[in-house]
Parts: sequence; structure tokens; C-alpha cells
Amino acid sequence: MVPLNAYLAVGAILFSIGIYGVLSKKNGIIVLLSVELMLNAVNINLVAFSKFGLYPNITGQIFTVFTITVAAAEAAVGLAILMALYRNKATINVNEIDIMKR
Amino acid sequence: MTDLLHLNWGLLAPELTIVIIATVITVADLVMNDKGDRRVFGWISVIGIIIAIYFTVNQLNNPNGVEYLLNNTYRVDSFGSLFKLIFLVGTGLVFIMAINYIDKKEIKYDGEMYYLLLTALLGAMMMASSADLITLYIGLELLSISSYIMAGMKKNNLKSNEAAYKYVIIGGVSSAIFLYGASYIYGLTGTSNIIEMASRLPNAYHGDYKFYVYLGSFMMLVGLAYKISVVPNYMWAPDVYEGAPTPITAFLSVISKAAGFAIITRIFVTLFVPLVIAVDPKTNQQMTFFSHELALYLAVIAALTMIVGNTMALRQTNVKRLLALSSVAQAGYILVPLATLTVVSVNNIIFYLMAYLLMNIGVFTVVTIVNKDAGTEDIRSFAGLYHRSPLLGVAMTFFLMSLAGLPITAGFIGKFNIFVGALIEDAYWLAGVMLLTSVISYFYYFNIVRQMYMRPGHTEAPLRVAYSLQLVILLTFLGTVLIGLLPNVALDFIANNLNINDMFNLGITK
Amino acid sequence: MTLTGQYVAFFLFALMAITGGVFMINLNKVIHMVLSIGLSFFGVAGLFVILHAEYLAFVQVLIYAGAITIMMAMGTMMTHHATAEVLPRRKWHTFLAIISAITIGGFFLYGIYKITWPSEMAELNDNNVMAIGEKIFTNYVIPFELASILLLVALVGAIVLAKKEGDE
Repeated sequence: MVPLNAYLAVGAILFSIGIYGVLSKKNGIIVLLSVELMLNAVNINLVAFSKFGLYPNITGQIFTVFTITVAAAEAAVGLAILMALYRNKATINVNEIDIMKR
Repeated sequence: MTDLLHLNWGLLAPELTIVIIATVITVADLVMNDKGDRRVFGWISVIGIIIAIYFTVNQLNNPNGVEYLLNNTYRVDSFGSLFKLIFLVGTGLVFIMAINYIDKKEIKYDGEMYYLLLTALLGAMMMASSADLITLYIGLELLSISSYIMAGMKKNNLKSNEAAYKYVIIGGVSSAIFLYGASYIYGLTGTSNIIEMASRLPNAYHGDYKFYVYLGSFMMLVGLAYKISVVPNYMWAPDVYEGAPTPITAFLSVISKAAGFAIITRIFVTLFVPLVIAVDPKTNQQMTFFSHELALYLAVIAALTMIVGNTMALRQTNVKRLLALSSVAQAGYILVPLATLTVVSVNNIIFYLMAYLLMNIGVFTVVTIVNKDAGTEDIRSFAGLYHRSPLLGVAMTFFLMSLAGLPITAGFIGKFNIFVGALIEDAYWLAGVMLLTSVISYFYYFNIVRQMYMRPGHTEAPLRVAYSLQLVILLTFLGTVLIGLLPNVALDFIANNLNINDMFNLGITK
Repeated sequence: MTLTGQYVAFFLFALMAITGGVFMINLNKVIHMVLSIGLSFFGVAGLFVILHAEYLAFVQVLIYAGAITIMMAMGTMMTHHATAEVLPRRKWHTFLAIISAITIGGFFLYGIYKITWPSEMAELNDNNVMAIGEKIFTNYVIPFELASILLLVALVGAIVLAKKEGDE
């Protein structure tokens, strides 16, 4: 039996990769995908806990159904916003998205 | 198996009203031809909101106490109903602002704007009236996604696009962080119901899982921090507030923030307060989890938020950025009662949010009028406002005084209560920071006042204000001053209607 | 600890999930990045199968590996056709990003390594889909309906924002 810690470790690694992607990537689409990667880490955790947690039950899987739904909606809206931005500025490079001064 | 048809769906009346109005508007928007005047949708929404307020007020005096549906995925309790009143009144006022603001040239799809405001409101209401993490999360995302879209509604405006993009990324990352924390708490408790979670969490805490309890609660709070724009997650606020259409900025700064406080207070108080009361069976001592670490963490972010918000606001010349940072600072003040928890803390939070609703919506209404007239968002657009429209100038002065926390305004009473609450709990340093940063805030608030009275404007022509906007300003002005003069009316209203035990109580179902 | 088939499968899928993520960081072309993250999503779906969450594995493949990856690939083609990710000019920024990601990940891994969980597990094997469906349509029907409104909002919003002006 693969222990729970192994799954949690995979989740933690994916989560940190996602954080790195959000912080360092320049392309807007890749930043959105990094956020999805972080949400995937959450899903691994939830499903693993629904099998191995202190009180294992199906709720974790149901939670995952909802997070996947929301993630898809968020990705769609994020991409639409990028499209609108691209129409006006012809770039989706995050570095150039800074007309408002700090 | 529960028979869904026999449940008391009447409990959902306020939410259902909003859903029905939103559906009607969507369909009507499709049917109506492109040239049609969609402002009528705004008025329909206002009527719907008034009906929802009626239902919510009825639920306030519920003799049955707490009632819930389906294992607390939806519940009616006094805490949630009071917050719902704040959301409903706030959104109603935002609607009246939006009806006058929306310009077909800037926002082509104005019908969708009304529809999205309603769904955002629905999300906020669900965030206040559930004791289930899944419902709370979906409500949060409904509010967030509607807000992302509304922030980007000025499609041809690059600032608006950028605001929406920044908002969607920060929001997505924050909700991932929140969920990652929530997944650990779920792993320790095996339920999504936060009242059950609260009863199982102490076991996990002294069963070698301290690390995960800390990690989970910390990450949940960091993730939710973006909704109320406090320190780890406040950087988006100036950009998003500047880029979004002004009524949406008002919505984000008032309703979205109040909803953030609703969910944070709900999770924080319900989930973590029982950890204080629980006694460690091994050593027979009270556990110090809440009263030390978590409260300290909250106090530190409250202090940092007040300092950062107020000092950064000093340098701003764009009025919407200035108000964004001022609302960051205000969130810091509202966090103080949570960090120094007493029996009346939740009352203080709700009272301050009510005052904040009135004064901030008032300020944003005036900003809408002035900026639209001047065609710029620079602070100099306020120059000579008093001479152009004395009443508007006086009202704005009162709103700013209230935000600064000066006497005879609602903001003063709210701040004073919070301040006293911090002193009672011996958090002198926190009270000190609050006092000091309030003094700093006078500089930038009075900069606007100085522009209005002392600086000559580019024109002396009287400013024309639409009747509906006059109504909003009148209502918020009266509210700000009356609550300032007779605070007991509002304080008693909250005290009579709020039963804090509701939050720990599973409640009954029919 | 014996090397069972489950271990082998776990290592394979975990490797897929993590290498997909790592490739996403290191590849140069945006479209390759999108495809590599698709690999990562497939790996996660495999992990779900090992965890007896077959339904979620299907959903994962359909929505993440299918819909989201394809949507993002389309988005890439429509916006930045065949352009390479510019090499980072802000060295410090990348450095800080690496440090913070490693710190956060290391902190999590340390905690995970330290704490052992009880090895008992739920019997979720039989009628997994049925249990999920039953719970969603009874206990979680309110968030479910709310999620449907959320999807509608996302649909309307995405169309409104991405629509080309002057279409009619």
C-alpha cells in the first residue's frame, strides 16, 4: 500500500511548482496554467485524504468535483480576459502589463 | 435518504429572489433589441433587492433560532442575516450608482453588468449563510468570478483589462492557497461541515497533528486575505480599483470586503474558538492555540495593514487608488476586533461594516459624479467642488470625516468601539498603531477636503447631479450622521438581533 | 516494503505529474509548455485511479487534460503565434521566485515527512460513482445548484469579454 505521505508529497511538489510558475513566468497563459497546477495539488490532497485521512470518507471526492468545476470556470474567464487584453495591446506578456504605476 | 421536496425551501427566500431576478434579466436581455434602454433592468434589480431585504428582515426575528437545510450546507442564523442585510443594502445603492454611470460607449454589454452584479451578490449571501466549507467555497468563487468579469467590463480600456487580469490571477492563487489549507483541515476532520470540524479539530490538535492544524488554518487565512485585501494579499487592490468601473470599485470595496469578513469571521470563530475552550486531556490544561499564535498572527497583519495602507495612500494622486489604499487601511481596523476577541467583537465588526458601507458608498458616489464631470480621476478634479455644489461638498466632507474617524460620524463610533475593545484585551500596542495610523490618514483625507474648499476649480459652473444619485448621497449622508449622533439605535439593533452562540449551534431543520 | 504493482504505478504516475510540471517551467515554446502540463494532468488522473477515485480520474482527464489544456493551446495559438518565451531578464526576480518556491515546498515536505498517519483506509471501492452521485444530489444539492449558476456566469462572462467588437 502506498502511504498517504507519498501522495501528500506529490501534492506539495506540484503546489510549489505552481507557485514558482506564477511568480516567474512571463506568458499570461502559463501563469493561468500554473494556478491550475496548484489546484491539482489540492485535488490530490483531497482525494488522498478521502481514502487515508483521520476520518476517511467520500466527502473529499465530492469537494474535488466542485474544485474541478470552479477551476474550469476560472480558466475560461481568465483566458477570456487575456483575449480582451490581447485585442487592445497585442501582448499577453505579463511584464508589459503594467501601465498603472505602483 | 432525505426527501428533498419536503424540506423548508422557504428559508432560501432572499437568495431565490435574487436568482429569479437575475434569470428574468438575462432572458429579457436576450429578447430586447440591441438599442433598447437597459437601465430598466437596474430598477427591476433594485425592486428585487428590496423584496430580498424584506425576507431577510423577517428571518432576523426567527423564533426558532437557527434553522438549516441539508446538513448545514445552508443555514439561517442571526450572524448571516445581519451580514446579508449589509450586502443587500450596499448592492442596492451600487445599483443606483451603476444605472447612472453606465455609458454604452464604454460598457457595451450593460445588461450583463446588472446580471453579474446580482450573481456576485448571490455569492456574497451564500458566503454569509452556510456552515459548510463546500458551499462557502462555491459562494466565494461565484462572487470572485463575477467580480473578475465586472472589473474587465470596459473592454476597450486597457486599464480595465489589466485590472481584470491581475484580479483573476491573484484571486486564483489565493483560492488555491485557501483550498490547500482546507484540504489539510478536511484530512484531519473528515467532514466539510465546519461545526463538526470544530468538534473534531481539538482531537487532531493534541493527536500529533499540530503541524497540520497550524498549516491549514494559516493557509486558509492567507488565502482569504485577498478578499478583504489585507497584508499578504493587498497589492492588487490599487490596480484593480483604479481599472474597474467606479460602481464596481464601490462594490468591491464594500460588499466584496464585507463578504470576506463574513467568511473569515465564520470560519475563524466557529472553527478555531472551540480550540481555546477545549482542554488537553493529558495535561489537563487549557490549550493555548488560539489565544496566542493565531490571535498574534491576526494582530500583526492588522497592524501591518493599517501601516501599509495609510502610508502608501499618502503618495497617491489618483483618487480611486487613494480610496483603494484607504479601504486597505479600513480592513486593518476591522481585523482588530478579530485579533482581540471578546464577546462583543462580532458586534463591533458588524457595526463598523455598516458605517463603512454608508461612508464608502457615499464617497464613491461623489467620486463618480466628480470624475465623470471632470473626465479625470486625478485628485485635482475635486478642486472648487464646494463652490460648484455646496451640498455635495458638505456631504463629501462628512464622508471623509467618517472615514478618518472624527466625531459626530458613524465612523468615529465604530472606530472608538474597536479601540476600546483592543484596550480591554490589553492589546495596547495594537491600539497605539491604530491611533497613530488614524492620525496619518488625516493627511490624505484632508488633502481632498482642501481641494474642495481652498483650491480654485477649472470652472465655477454648478454641478448637475441626477436625482437618483442625489437619493444615494442623501441616504448615505443621513445614515452616516444619524448613526454618529445616535449610535445606540444601531448598536441595540445589532445587539438585539445577533446571538453569537448561533455560530456554534447546529440548529434545527424541518 | 515489497515492490508491488501499485508502487510501480504510483511512481510512474507521480513521475508523470512532476516531470510535466518541471518541463512546463523549463521548456522554451509556450505551446510545448501547455502540452507538458497536459502530461502532468494525466499523471494526476493516474494517481486518482490508484486512490480508487475512478470517477474523478475520468473527470480529470476530460476537464483538465482535455478541456483546459486544449483551451489554453487554442489561446496560445490565437495570441502568441509561434513565439518563444523570452529568457528571463530579471535575474533577481527569478532567483527570488525559486527561493520562495523551494522554501514553501521544503516546509511542506518537512512536515509531511515528520508526521505519520494511521494506515487504515476507507472502503471506497464499491459503487464509488453511486455514492458520489447520491451525496451530491441530496446533501450537496445547494452548492451543486450554485455551481451551475457559477458556470453560467463564467459562460456569459467569457463570451462578453472575448467577443470581437463590431461583429453584428
